[in-house]
Parts: sequence; C-alpha cells; structure tokens
Amino acid sequence: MAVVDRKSLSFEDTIFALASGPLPSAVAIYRVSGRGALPWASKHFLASSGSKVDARGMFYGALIDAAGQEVDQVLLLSFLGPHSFTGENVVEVQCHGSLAVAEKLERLFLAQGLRPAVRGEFSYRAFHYGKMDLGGMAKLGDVFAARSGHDLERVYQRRDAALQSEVSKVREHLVRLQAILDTAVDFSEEYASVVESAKSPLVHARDLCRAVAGRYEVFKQGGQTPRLVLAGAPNAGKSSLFNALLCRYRAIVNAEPGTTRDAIEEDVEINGRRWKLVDTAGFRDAGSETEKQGIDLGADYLESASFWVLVVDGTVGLTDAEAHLLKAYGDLPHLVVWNKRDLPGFCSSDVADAETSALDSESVQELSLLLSKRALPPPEASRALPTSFQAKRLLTAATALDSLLADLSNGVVPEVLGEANRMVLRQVESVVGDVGVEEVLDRVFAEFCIGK
Amino acid sequence: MKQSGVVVIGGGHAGIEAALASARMGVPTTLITMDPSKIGEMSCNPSIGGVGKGQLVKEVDALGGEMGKTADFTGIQFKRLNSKKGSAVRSSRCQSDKKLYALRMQKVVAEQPGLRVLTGEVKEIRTQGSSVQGVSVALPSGGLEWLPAEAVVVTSGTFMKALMHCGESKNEGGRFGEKSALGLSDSLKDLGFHLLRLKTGTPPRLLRGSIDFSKMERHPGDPEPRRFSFWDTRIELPQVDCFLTYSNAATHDTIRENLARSPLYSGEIRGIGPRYCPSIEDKVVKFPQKERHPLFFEPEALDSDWIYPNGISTSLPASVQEAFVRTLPGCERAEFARFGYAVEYDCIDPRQLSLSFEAKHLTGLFLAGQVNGTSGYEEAAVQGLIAGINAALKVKEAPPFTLSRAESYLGVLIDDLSTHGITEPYRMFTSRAEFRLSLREDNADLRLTPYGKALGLIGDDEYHRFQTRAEKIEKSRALLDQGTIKPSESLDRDLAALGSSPLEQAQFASQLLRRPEIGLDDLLGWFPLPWELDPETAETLEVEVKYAGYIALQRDEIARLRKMQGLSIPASLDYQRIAGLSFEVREKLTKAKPGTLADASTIPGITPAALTAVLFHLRQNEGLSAHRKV
Repeated sequence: MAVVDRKSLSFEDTIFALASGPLPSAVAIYRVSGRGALPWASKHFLASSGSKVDARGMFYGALIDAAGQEVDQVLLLSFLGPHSFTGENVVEVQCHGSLAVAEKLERLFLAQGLRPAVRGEFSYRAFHYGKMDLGGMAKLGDVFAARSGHDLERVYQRRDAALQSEVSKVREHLVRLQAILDTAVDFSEEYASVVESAKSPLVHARDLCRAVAGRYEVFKQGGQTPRLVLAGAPNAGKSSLFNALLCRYRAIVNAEPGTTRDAIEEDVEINGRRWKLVDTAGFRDAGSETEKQGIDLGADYLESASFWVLVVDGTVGLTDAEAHLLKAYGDLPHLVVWNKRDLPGFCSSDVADAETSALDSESVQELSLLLSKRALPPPEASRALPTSFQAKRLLTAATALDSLLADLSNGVVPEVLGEANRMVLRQVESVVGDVGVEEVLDRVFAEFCIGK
Repeated sequence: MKQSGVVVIGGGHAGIEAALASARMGVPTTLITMDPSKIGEMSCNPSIGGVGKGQLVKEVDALGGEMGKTADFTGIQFKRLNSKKGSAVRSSRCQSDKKLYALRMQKVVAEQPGLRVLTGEVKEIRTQGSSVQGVSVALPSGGLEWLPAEAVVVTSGTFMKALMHCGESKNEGGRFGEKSALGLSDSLKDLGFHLLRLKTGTPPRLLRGSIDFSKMERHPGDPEPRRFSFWDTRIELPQVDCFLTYSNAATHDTIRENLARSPLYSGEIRGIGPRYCPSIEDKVVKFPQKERHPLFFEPEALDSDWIYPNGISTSLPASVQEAFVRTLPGCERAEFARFGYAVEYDCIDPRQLSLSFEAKHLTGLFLAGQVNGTSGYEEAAVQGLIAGINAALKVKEAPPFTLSRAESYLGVLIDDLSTHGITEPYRMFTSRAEFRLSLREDNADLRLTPYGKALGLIGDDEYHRFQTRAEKIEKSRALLDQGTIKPSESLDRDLAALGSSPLEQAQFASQLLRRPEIGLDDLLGWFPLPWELDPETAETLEVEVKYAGYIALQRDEIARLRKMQGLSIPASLDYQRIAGLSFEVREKLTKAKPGTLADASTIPGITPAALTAVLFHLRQNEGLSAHRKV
C-alpha cells in the first residue's frame, strides 16, 4: 500500500467516496464530507417534500444534473458537524447501484470541486477533529480485519492491562540488559566481563517481542485457520452435512457412492470460530483412479486436521474402513456422528457422540454446539491481542535485538550496544504509551487503511 | 554592573571554581574559608576523574575551569579507562599528589586578580525580601564583618551539622581535625531550604613502610600518559604505581563479628549513604556470595608515607579496623596513620534550585557542590563553575548561562539535580547521559569551548588553538568521507592480519573504518592524511567516523526532544478534564505544572501513556477550535 503524505492533504477540500461494496449492486452509498457537502446537495438534490437540506435528517427525492435533468431517485442523509463521523458536515447519497448512475453522480461531485478521498481520509478527519482517538482508529481497523465473531470479541474486549504486563516483562529484560551493559562501561575495572551475561536477557526480550507481535499477524491474516475435516465411508452423507454446516449449497450431493472425488474446502464460522471445513472423498478401496487420488487427498487432510468428524451412515453402521480411520486418527480430537437419522433403518449406537440429519436443521445446530464445546480454541487466541501499531513496534524491536545479538557476539564495545538497546527500550516503552508527536499522525495515515 | 560583587563561601573544589570563574569574568570576588591552608584539599581519595567523572573534568576544562590543569601538573599516575579498540566512552583518571594539588590551587587562587581570600566563618546570609544582601562573617580575631554582595555562592561541602562516626565515638566536625559549620545549616533552613541528611565515609590511611607490596599486584599507569587539559599544561611529576590486593574470608568474618559496633548497623547513622561507594561493612553484608572484593592501594603524595586503601571505607571502631586490615595480603603488619570514619551531614533539596544553581525563591543565592547532595570532587567542581559563572552574570545583570542534557554531562547533572532531586549522594555515571556517544571526553572542547570564550573564560590564544584543532578534524573527516580505498593484495593481507574480510570493491575510507576490527591507525597506514594528527584529534576523528550512524540517530533524538520542548502546555490546563489519566498522574502534573511536553516527560512517574493522553487532549482542543472555523 502506498503511504500518502498526509501533509499534502488539505482539510479545506470537500471529499467524497463510495462507501458501499463493488458495483453494480442494488444500492450504492456515497459519502461526502466537508464544507462543500451541503451546497452540493442544495444544487443537485430536490427533495420530493420540497424541504431544504440544511438540517440533520433523511430526505427522499431526485438527483439532478446541472441542467436540472433527473439522474436517479435517491435517499439523502445529512449529518451536521460536529455531530457526524468526521466532525464536518457530511452528506450521504443512497442511489441505485448502477454503473451509469454512479458515474454520473461522481461527475456531479467533481464538477463542484469535490475530490475523491484517499484511503483512510474520512477516518483521518475524524481523528483530526477529535471525533476518534488513536485507540478508536486502531479498533476500527481491526474490526474490518476481524474474520469471525471470536475475532471481533477479541478486538472489542482488548484490554491494555494484559498486554501491558507482557510488555513490562520485555521491558524488565531490556532494563536488565541495559544495566549489564552500563555496568561494563561505568565499572569496567571490576566488571568488564559482565558483558557475557548479556545474552540471556537479550534473547528473552527478543523472543517475547516476536511472540506477542506474531499474535497480531496471525489475527490479521486469519492465521492458520484450523481445519475441521469430515471423513467417513462413501455415501455416509458427509457432503450433505458439509452443506448444512455451511448453510449453502456447495458440494455436489448425489445418492451414488463416491460422488465427492476431490476434497472440498470452505471457510465457515461455527459459533464464533473460524474453520476451514473440509469435505473429503469417502474412505474405502477406491473404485477408479480419480477417486483414489481424492481419497489420498482426504488422508492428507486428516493428517493436518485440528479436529475431525467421523460421519457414519446410521442405517449401515461402522464399516471396516471407518473402524480403520478411528484407529489411525483416534488420537486427534474428533467426534463420531451417526448420520441419516431421518431414514428408516437408522439404528442408534453407543459409539456415536451425536445423531444428525442434514435435513434437520436442529440436529445440525446441536452438532455445531457440540463442536464448539469439544474443539477448544488454541491457547494463543485467548491471549492479549496487540494493535497493528503495537505489533509493528514490537517487531521493530525484535529486529533491532537480532542485530544487537550479532554485535554482541562480534565483540562490539558495550557503550555502543547500550546505545542500541536504549533505542529498543524506547521502542518497547512506546508500545503501551507514548508515541512521538508527528510520528503519531504519519503512522495513523500509513497504517490504518480502513476503507473510506 | 553593580558594586559589591560575588561572595563565595567555602574553598573546596566547588568554591575554587566558583571564585575563579567569577573573578575571571571581571567581577570583584571574595572567597571566605575557615582555613585557607585547606583550600583545594582532597579530603578523601587522592584521584581525579574516572568513568563519567573524567568527562566532567574535561568539560570544566573546556569551559575554562581549573581542575584539569591542576590534575595534570600534580598527577603521579594517569590511566585511561575503557580504552580498548573501538571504545567510544573513554574516561581519564589520575592519581594526584594531594599536597601539591592543594598547593597549586592555593597559588592559583592567591594569584588571581580580583579575587580576595577572607578567613572566617559565615554566621548568616542576609536577605531583604527575596534577594540576597550579603553575609556576616565571624573573623578569627573575634570580630564580625559585614560583607555586602549581589550574589552569594554557598559551597559548604559536608560541613553543615557534620557529625563524624568512628565506632561508638562521635565527634562534631566536617573532616578529620576540622570544625563543623553549625550556624550555616540553620541559616539556610531559616531561608526556606528543605534539608536532607546524608552520609559518606572514608577509609583508614596506612603507613607505606608497614605494607609488603610484594604480596600485591602491581598496577602501573599508562605507558603514555594523556593529559586532562586541552590547554597548555604538562605532566611533570614522576609517575608511580598503585597496588591491588583482595579481601578474603578472614576479613569478612572479622567484619561480620563486629557489625553491631558499626554505627551504620547499630542505627546510630540515619543519613543515606551512596550505593556505589559502599563501606566495607555494606559490601560484606549486601554481597555475602562474593568471596573477595578488590582493594586498590594508592599513594597519597610523592613525599608522603600515607597510603589510601581504596575500597575499605568504614566506620567500625579503631580496634576492629586494625584487625580486619591485617587479614589482607601484604597488610599483616600494617600501621595506621589515621582511622576511617563515617560522616553525617546536612544538604539541601536541589529541586529548590534553578538550572543556573540559583535558589528559585531567593535572587542572588547560589548553591554548589556537596551541599546540593552530590558526592565527588568533579561533581563539585562543575557545579562551582556554573554557579560562579551565573553569580558573575547576575552581578553583570546578564541572563543566566545553562546547559542542556543534549550537549554536556554538566547539563545532565544540572537537570538531574534540579528536576529529580536526590535519594542518595549523587555521583555521575555515563549511564545517566542519554547521549553518551556524543558527549565524550575528546570532544568536550568542541561542545563547550565557544561558550567559554563568550563568557570570557577562554583566552584568545587558547581559542585560536581550539579553532585550529576543530578545523583539522573537519578537514580530515571530509577526506575520509570522500576518499576511496581500492582493493589490492597487500591490503587484503593487512586486513586478514586484523581478522577482517578482504575488500571486494573500492570503498570510502570512512566505510572501512566502520568495521569494528579496524582502528584509525590501521586505516592511516593505507590512507595517509596530508597532516599529522595528535592523539586527541585522532581519537575524535576515529569515534566520529566509526559511530557516525549512532551519532546521527542521537542527533535525531535530540531534535525530537527539542520539538517536545516546543510543545507548550497552557498553565491553565485542567488535568482533571483529561480522560485516561490516573489519579496519581493528575496530582503530579497539577502540582508540577510543566511548561512543555518535554518538561512533563521528565517528571518521575509520568508514563509515556499519560503524555500521549495530554498530547491528544491538546490536539483535540486544537482540532475542535479548528472545527469551529469550518
């Protein structure tokens, strides 16, 4: 992402941007902010009630061009500063999401001297006018990045205290390191050899920085989304269950055994947790070459599964192949499900953790509840989540500590090591607090790329 | 200029520098001492400088002070600490001939035009409203003399309400055989100063002839001694050795058995002692796992029988001192010239002083040296110098002279004292300076001599010499930055011999010098400069080039600091209204009323998070006011 020089952006300008998703769509939402917002509306919008757009409110009417020709029927919302998102006067136009309408509307904005906002500029104005502080901006950025209910919970429940205690551990190591290095300088006659003991706090501090910062990376990239693998004999109903869990139609479902020849993978959220749900080919002696490949693939998926579900056809019972699977992968966390509960001939079993039918949404719901109970979230997910700001600083610190470690082994004199460490200390201290004055604003703009 | 001039109370290391600076700036100056023969006395160890302290001496010298010059003329062993290859924090130390040191200082003081020495004891510092009028002095003849003054510099050392402890016996007095200044402490208290009680100590002195040095390690000085002074001095005294021995289990047992008799542990002494210069009792108690402590035996003077055993400061009773000293290798038959003792004394809270060492609440009253809670000759001298300069400026009705943390150790010391105060006797360490790669001994003149010149403390000849040196450094630097070295077989051989990798392609000379294993000497072998470099200039050049990256980063940091200093906080700011500040932080900020964000950042307990909250509050208000204009 290109970093925009915020100094080149003027608060005098009135800016606009598309706030809704890609076009064409049913409705497109444009937002306009700045002193030119209301004058623009009075020129290009005619409320059907005849009222003027000079107060906070929602209006229905016609979007008109310079010649007075109607362009579209729109909803117009006005928010007067300072009680708006940016703190300035804001106008929102909800028009039909056609490419033609959007293009005309944008031309009408440009013709009045409005300019397109750069990424993050609305938020930046909000920050500038005191509508949102840095923490708020960080939160907003992470709300956008959140991929599951659990992620959102982590963002909204972020507590500085937990992170602070980890950062203060890093700080303790660094202060100890500084003390060692300073001792070697200030008391060189007695303690020149103390430098040798510098390595341990250095390594501790570095590893902890990386570990904490790494959490944000995992969060941001959705990390290694854990795999939830459905396995079982052909035609046990894995694909139907897969679709039921996804709540949409994805896998080809067919009554003929061996329909799923490939493993199919989909992202799914089950009770606030994100999974890669994998539907595998049935496990049995493969009838054809393609199917064999699919089956091998399924085995590979099981190897890397965080959790798996053995789906058994309740009208057939445990097959040899399935018993074999249980034996081979029984050590991995798993559930055994007796499927096709709705069919005659279905027999319950003591081995089953749940009885399901893809056609019975209640049973699918029960299964997903059971899943979230049995599949414990990774310990990492419950630890304090740093903001991108904090993570970046910790990573910078870790990198600096890497080169400090190299310098230490190369025999660089302690006063120079101490200097480098002092800078690391400042970096780490700033994680839970102070940020340089100008730096704050530059970073805000470069880092919080949160749409418009 | 006004008429009556400056009065300096005390003739120790602070008093001397204060009086000389003031007189040299052309202000009539009177130095009052209880005993002129004690002017320049080294009351504790016979050495000047050390890590952190050497830097102070160089800075005093660069500003036109006297300490470095006298150290050079009277030094009998010189050593540069941290001087291995690549070092950036080299520090000078010398053993001085104590007697000659004091004699030279007395001579310099006596010969200084415009400086009068008056023997007597100051009974009262008189003020009118909030400004100083003068002092009344009890003369040895019994009379009382009234001395009017526009500025008074108090450098009373450890003498205020001083109490000496040696085992169970207690004596009033600031130093062995000297009187205590009882009245002055009360006078300062009456003037509104808060007093603190500190403690310091000194080891016994042993007789040279009674020690068997063959059982100790010989510690000679540097083969090529380096002077402190940037100016015209010489090392002219014969150079001598020090000796090193270690305490042992028997020493520690003897001390442990008699701890109850140490006033430190019996509760007799309540003053706070320095952690960095603990008594031997403290060392034994606080570091029980340490099997031995190094002890340095230093001669006090060339023609003296006294040996100063550095490292066994104690207040144990005389008989115990004899017993434990005789357990030391080489000291089996040691005879005592004097016993060690601890001394408790009053000092003021230095937070009551401004950055010029003037009392915040009393115009014209300056305090410097141990009375401000510091320890050490060097720390005293720098304060004396700055206080003397400012006292003279006061008389001249000129604005005060202060230094920042970014440009000198002096500034660090001044800022630490006046902003943070003290919790123990304050000693300089290089770790106190944020910018120690920039604040070096070798460039003290480059940093400070122009100030010294402007103040009238550096003569024209000296300044010319300084300019020549500064130019040479600059030109040499340019040559190293712009000149290139080409790869060659012989160069690669040389590099290999130094443990350095061969040169792949032509490189700027300065780049090659940045390799840790390469020194300037090595480089000049391949890339000679068209002029000779004296060792001091070579050192400056080497460090500046080698650590240019770090020095540049420090410069950025200094700029950042200045920027914070530029962010002023309105005095009317209501901290109660700022969200996210703890109760404690609010209290502190409300009380301290920092003028800028930089000031706020130096208040202890003000977290970076709190600063950010203040900053945001200010920004938001700015933002809201900007919004109203929209």
